[in-house]
Amino acid sequence: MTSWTPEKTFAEYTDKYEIYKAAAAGAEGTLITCLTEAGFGPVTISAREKQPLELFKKQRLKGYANPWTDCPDLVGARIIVSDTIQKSEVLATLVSDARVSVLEIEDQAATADPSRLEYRGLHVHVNFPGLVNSGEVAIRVEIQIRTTAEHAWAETVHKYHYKAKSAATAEISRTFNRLLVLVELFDQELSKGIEMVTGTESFEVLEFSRYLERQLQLFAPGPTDIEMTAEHIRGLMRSGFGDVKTLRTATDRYIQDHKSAATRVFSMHGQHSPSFDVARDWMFTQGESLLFLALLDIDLYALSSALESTDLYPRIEEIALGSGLTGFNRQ
Amino acid sequence: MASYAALVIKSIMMHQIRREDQNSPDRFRVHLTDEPIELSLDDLSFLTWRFVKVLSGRGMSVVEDRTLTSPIPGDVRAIWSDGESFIEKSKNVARHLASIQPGSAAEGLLVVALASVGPDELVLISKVEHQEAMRLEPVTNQAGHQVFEVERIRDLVFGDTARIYKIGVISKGQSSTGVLTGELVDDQNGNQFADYFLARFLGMKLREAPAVLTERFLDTFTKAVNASTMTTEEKLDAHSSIVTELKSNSNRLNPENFIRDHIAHGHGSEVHSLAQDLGATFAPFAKDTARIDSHLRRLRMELSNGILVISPPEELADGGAVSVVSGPEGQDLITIFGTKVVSVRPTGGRL
Repeated sequence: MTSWTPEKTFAEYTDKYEIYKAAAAGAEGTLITCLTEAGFGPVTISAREKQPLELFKKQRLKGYANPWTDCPDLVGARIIVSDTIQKSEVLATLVSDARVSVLEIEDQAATADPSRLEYRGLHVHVNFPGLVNSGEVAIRVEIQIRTTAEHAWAETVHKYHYKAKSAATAEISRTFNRLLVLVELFDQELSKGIEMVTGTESFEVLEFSRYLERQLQLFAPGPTDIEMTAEHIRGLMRSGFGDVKTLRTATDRYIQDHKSAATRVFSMHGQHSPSFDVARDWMFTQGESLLFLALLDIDLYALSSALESTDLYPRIEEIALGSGLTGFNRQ
Repeated sequence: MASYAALVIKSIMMHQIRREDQNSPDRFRVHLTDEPIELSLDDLSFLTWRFVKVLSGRGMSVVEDRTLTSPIPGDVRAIWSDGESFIEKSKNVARHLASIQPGSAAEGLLVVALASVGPDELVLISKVEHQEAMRLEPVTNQAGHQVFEVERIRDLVFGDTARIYKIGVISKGQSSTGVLTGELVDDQNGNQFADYFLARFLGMKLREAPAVLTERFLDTFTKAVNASTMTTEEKLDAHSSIVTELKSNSNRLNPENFIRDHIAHGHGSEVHSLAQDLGATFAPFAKDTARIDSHLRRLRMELSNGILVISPPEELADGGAVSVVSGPEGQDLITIFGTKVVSVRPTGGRL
């Protein structure tokens, strides 16, 4: 049995470093794919391999019998989310995704002493199928999942505060640790606010607006005005064209059944088209243009009649005329 | 014509047609310009979009009428064969309009433009009438008060009212057979006094006579409604509306507006598609029921058991003596109210 001295560990790791570097990139890519497909909005995902000297020093400290399996963070990843609700959702996604094999969940919040102020991390230890070392042993990856507030605290403390015990550092520790109460309260209130708004119509409209923006990227990539999209969606709902679910179903069906027609329209009027005229074509840079096209496809006459005296009419008229749908505008 | 959404305007000449004073032997005079209009990108975009909106779906197909003596077809051919002559020919066009316009016609702007839709080159000839509007400007008066100064502007051009535009679009691609072909947008066409624009001015005629278009509307829309998935009641309403529309006092018929106003919600696109497959045209046209007057007196309802119900259209409409509702097992229940049988006689063949 090999005795892994720090020097031997360093030499072996240096020799096999590229494997771990590639594993870090692979882990990061897989995590991004998993969370994007699961519909997570902006989250920060990063992964890094331990540097050879870092492993040398850790091995000096820990004396792992087998550093290749015992060291939990030869490859480490970090996922930073906006709130504690997302923390749980990310964890649930990783657990259920076949591309991630969860070995251990280390939730310090579950086991922490409630009377003590201390950072309570959430670490998930995983393997990724196909990410193996030179001995064909799966490489263990430690994933930290943090909220933005937790990350700000942790990074600041890590940057400024040394953990070694002393009378001076005890006071500093207390100062930093008191902040953890605020971090916890911040995250709790944030989650509470999110829970209050989720399920409301306004949130559904906002989510649908973002969805339309994402769908537009398939045809004419570029930023959109989400607030304007939301306002137009609300206008359609007020005019009796159904709820968000109905409008989304109509949009999805249109994209599925008329993708080539939509591609043609945006190739003429999208912002990257050579013939793009901002005064005439600006509505085609908005996500709701796909929704309008879907409703025009269903029944442009009913749409025209229903919206004739509304502010939506001229917006949809621009889409209709640009698409060659002459039945929409009353003549 | 392909969709005007891709209209590109390349060069525009504008000349004014002004009313002459009462003592002049001529009714109108022209104020000619010598160079194409220079427009900023914004203004060109505005103007192009104006024309796109007015032209889209509203053009009636027109062809050159060689029995007429208008110089316009020759001017258009000259413009295409000799690009240098565009400015001079546009002046000819303006002079010709001023010379033949009836005294009741409005003043306005005569626009001659070189344009394109995709690979097809177009000559666009348009008379645009003026619109009136008011402009307000905040000022401080002598008393030091904030007030509005009001200015009435009588000669605004390129407003958004479609009625003020008469536009002839002549397509080089469609004229390749030697006969100039294009489209006309003119809300007043069909009234004798306004026919001057198509015939005497442009030297063209409608490709199809109003009576033909009207008959085609009746034929294609009747079949489209029957073939649609509307309920029996909805179909009856639609048929009544077709007859009512044809018998109305309006001298124009707009198929698109008809669909919007009279076809049951959710079936507009379906009826449009069915009618289009049957050869319907959807641009507005002058109505002429000469060929179909006899068809408009009664509606004939054929039932699956061989029974015929023949009724004046108004009796099949809402509130009429004939009621048709959907019954069980896909059957229709037909009830005739407020009347009695006055005679029965044997008959055979089609009624």
